[in-house]
Amino acid sequence: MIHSRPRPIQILLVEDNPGDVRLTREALSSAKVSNALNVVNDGEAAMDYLCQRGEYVDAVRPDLILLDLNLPKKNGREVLAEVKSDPELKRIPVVVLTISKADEDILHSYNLQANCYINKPVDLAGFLKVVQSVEEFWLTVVALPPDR
Amino acid sequence: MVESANPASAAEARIPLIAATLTVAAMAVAFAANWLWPEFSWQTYTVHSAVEAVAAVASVLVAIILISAKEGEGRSGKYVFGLGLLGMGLLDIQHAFVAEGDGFVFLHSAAVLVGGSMFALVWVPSTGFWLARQRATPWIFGSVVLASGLASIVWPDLLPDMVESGRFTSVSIAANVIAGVLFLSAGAYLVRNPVWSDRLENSLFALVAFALGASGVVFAYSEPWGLSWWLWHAYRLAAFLVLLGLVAHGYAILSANLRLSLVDVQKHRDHLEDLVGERTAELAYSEQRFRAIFEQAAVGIALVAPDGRWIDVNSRLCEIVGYDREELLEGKFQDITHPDDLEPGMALLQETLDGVRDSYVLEKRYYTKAGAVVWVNLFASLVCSRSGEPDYFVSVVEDISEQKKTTEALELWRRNEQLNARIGDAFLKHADDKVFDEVLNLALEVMESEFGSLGYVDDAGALVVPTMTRHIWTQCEVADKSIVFPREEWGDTIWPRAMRQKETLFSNEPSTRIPEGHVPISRTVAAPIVDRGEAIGLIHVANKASDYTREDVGRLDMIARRIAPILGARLQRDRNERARDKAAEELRSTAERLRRSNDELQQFAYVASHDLQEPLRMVSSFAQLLAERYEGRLDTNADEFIGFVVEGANRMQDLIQGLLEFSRIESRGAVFEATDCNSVIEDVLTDLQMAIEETDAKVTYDRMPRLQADDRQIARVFLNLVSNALKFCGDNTPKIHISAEMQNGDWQFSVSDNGPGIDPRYHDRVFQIFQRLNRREDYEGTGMGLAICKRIVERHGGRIWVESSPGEGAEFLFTIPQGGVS
Repeated sequence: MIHSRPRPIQILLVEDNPGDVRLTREALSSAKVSNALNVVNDGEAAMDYLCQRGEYVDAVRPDLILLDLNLPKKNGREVLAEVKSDPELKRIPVVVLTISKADEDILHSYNLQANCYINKPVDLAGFLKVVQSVEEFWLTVVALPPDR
Repeated sequence: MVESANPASAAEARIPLIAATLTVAAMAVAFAANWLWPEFSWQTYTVHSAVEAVAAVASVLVAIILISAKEGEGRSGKYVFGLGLLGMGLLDIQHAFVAEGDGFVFLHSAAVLVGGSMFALVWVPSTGFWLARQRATPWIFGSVVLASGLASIVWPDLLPDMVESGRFTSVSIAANVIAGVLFLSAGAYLVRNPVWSDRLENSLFALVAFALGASGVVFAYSEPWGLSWWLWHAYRLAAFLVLLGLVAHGYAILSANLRLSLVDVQKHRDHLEDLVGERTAELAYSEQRFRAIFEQAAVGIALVAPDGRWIDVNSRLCEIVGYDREELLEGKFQDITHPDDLEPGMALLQETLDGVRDSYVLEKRYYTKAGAVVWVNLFASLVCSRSGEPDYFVSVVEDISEQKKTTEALELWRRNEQLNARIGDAFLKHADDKVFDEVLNLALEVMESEFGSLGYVDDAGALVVPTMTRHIWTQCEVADKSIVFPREEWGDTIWPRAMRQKETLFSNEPSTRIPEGHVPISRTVAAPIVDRGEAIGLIHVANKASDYTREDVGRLDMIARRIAPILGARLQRDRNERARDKAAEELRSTAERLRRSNDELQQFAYVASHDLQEPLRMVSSFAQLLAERYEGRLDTNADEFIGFVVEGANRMQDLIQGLLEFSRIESRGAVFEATDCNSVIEDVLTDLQMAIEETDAKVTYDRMPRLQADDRQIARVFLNLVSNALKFCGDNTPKIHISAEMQNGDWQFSVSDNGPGIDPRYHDRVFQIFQRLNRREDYEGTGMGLAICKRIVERHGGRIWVESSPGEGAEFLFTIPQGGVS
């Protein structure tokens, strides 16, 4: 069972806004499941991390990716597209977490096989609730692909 | 001859009978005498010669009368009788002087043979008497007979035996019998066919012929100097006496007839005189009538000699050509004929004289005395003399000048119309770059000119010549072939003058003031094209083969007038087009600017609202985190301040959301589809369920239509309007009614409430973005709701407005076209 995993769940947060990083960390700190939150600040870093390149050679492949769409260097859509076209990476669930409520962003993300699209609530309570919901759903309910 | 009563007519009918009886009786007497007194012989030369001489003289006399009377008589048979008697007489005279022997018998026999033969010729058809028409015939005939008679006397040995031992030989008997038969046959002919017009004469002459015939036959039974011999002499004598009687009778008749004739002649003369008088009077009357016709005829009439001299002319002709009669009669028609018409006229005249034709018709021109040209229609017919020689022409001359003028005017009108149509056509059918060429070619053709130009005056006042006769243009060696002539360089030649004076000018003098190298201009016409008092163009032609006439000038003037309105309209059109193009260009660039600005604004609104949310969230989130974690641990001021930060952030959030929504109405709207407004309103009211329950509001709506629209946006409009009505209800329990009705093809919706109403001053302002009428403390709201409604309604092609006054509630109305707007 998932619960019996020996190591904490690895989460990669791709987010350039330090405030959001902090808020996410706050929300996950009280999570039911032990988790390790790894943060990168732009799309290129995210890909380096996922492919274990450069400074991320030793990075652990995440079990879940929280992806913002508005990112410097390489935006979230590109990252999503690359992840979902990579045979190794495409099994990793990607939760798009963004401020945009635009329909085309939502559609586009799902078309790129995002696993879910979540709008960042403006108020704190909402945000915390969302992150916790994500945590609860993806880390406790869903069966994630097995490790290699 | 005039028929007259004849006293002997009773006896006439019996004469043939008498003659036949006489012949038979004579022969019977001769037989009887021969038989009774065979020995009788009375030889007396004197008596014999006397008898023969009397007979001969009678014969010759009658012969002379008959021969000389031949002319004027109808029948030439009498002439032949005359010749016969002449021959007989001449031979008998010689016979009377010969005493005895063969010569004596021969002369007698020859005499009766000649007479009998000639008499018998009466049987020959009259056409055979050609002899009778020769004047010399009696002389020749008489000479031959006389010569043969004399020859028989001089050379008696040459004669056949006529008498042998006191008896006649068969030769002499045969000659006399044959002669007698011939005489008898002539007598028979005369009985049947009259030779004279007088029957008595015919009968008597027949009697003579029978008597001579009988004597010839009786000869066969006679012996010289015997009784029967004397008897037939007596018969012959009797015959000649009858002949003489006949002649005497003829004279008697002749003289009687002559007397009668004289009376007749007198009568005839009188009659003729009467006739002549009558005819003369008739002729005079006829002449008078013809003269009247001639003089009073509505057409000109002339008698013209074959050489062209006027023989007579009537007053109308004088009137047509303006000359006096006397003046005309001195000359020929050629003098006043137009030179161009002379040759065809003379050709026709000659053909008529040559007999190729009897008459001819010709349209020709005369010069009047005043020098004017008069068109006439000439009909000339030739009259010939009795001998067939051309005598004179009768010419009928009709003045057709008026007719000709009308025809020419008509022709001119027709040509002008045609020209007008062709010019109009050229302008209609040809593109701008061709039309000038086309019209110029037309003008050149009409003006029979070698070259020309057609130009217009542009806005700067310069003459622009888009077309010139091409080959001339290339011939020109002028350095500057510019087709734009600026006004200040026009100079003072004929065309600039025409342009300035606005009238058509022409010159038949070679132009001296043309640029060097320009083709020589010998004659020229320049017509300004004047439209509404402005010289807007110029048409200019040159070098006709002959001088330009007033008609030519009028024609070019006409062309210019015709071109004027079309060219004016075209130039105006060009100006309008340029102005319109300019305006369109300005409009287009303005629209483009607006579109770009609008795009930028939308992009800005979107980006701004999007990007503004990020920091706003930070403010709001951490303010809340702060409040959550540190509430009560700081002082009360800090808590209040944190509260303001959170509230401000939330409001900002609403504003940004509203702005975002507003900016997306156009760009993110859905396609219009059939929308049932009933379900739209149901959904809206469901969404507002809580607010309705909270305010205890009463919301009603009529049956709503279906229409083409963006259902989500329409729902948004109703949502905003109903929630506004719920919100701004004042102290009353809200009563809201939604209705819809057809107005001028649009659906007009209404949302009315019983709230405090809106001051008309603010009726426009409420629809503006971020405009609020109330204090925040009184009512929540961003001031975006109605602006969004307005924008949605406008996107649907409708309009929105409010009808209200304070305290009366408010009614928000908007229209949506039934079919929607694409």
